[in-house]
Amino acid sequence: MVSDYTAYYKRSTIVCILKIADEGGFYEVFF
Amino acid sequence: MDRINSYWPNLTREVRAKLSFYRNRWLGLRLRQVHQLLVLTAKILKYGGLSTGNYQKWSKEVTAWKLAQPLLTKQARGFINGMETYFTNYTDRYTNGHQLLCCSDMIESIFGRYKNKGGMKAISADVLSIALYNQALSSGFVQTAMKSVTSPMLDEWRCDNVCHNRYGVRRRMEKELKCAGG
Repeated sequence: MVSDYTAYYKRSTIVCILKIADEGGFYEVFF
Repeated sequence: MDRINSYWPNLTREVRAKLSFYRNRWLGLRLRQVHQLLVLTAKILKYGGLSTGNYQKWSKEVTAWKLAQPLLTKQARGFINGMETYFTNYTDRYTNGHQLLCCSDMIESIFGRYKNKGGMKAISADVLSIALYNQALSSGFVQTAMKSVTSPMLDEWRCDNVCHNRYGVRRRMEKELKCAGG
């Protein structure tokens, strides 16, 4: 389950980082 | 210098005699060379800031300019050396493809958008990004930040500190009160 998220813009790409609470890790999505 | 020279015919004989003591070709050359170097440098740095590419461009243009001079004044040499030191002092900040803003015009253009559009909302968003200006954003950097600060914590801080909130609410309330009163 996603517990937190943030996004930033870098080199013409939007990078969205999702914090997955139950797995204790992060997931990255690029747009 | 050309503008100063254009005033010359309008001056009285006495004033011209006094000024002639200070006017000579060396003064003209000193002023002209430093002015030319200043224009050359400002054209590059004003719009592009400090970067490896701009340093190379500046060096190339200064070398070409030096070749065109019959002699180099102490002041011009001092200006060139000063600029070399300026570039050297910031080398570690602009290498690796980074660009360093170095002109008040560029800072003005960043903050200028608040005047026309965005207003308080844009200022609030940018207040939070100021701390990131000299940081290289990477996935690891963001993940470390997210481990120590959560979005709800950030929201709480934002509500207390950035101007689109308390100030905006107060302004809206005042406007509504004024309308109700009128």
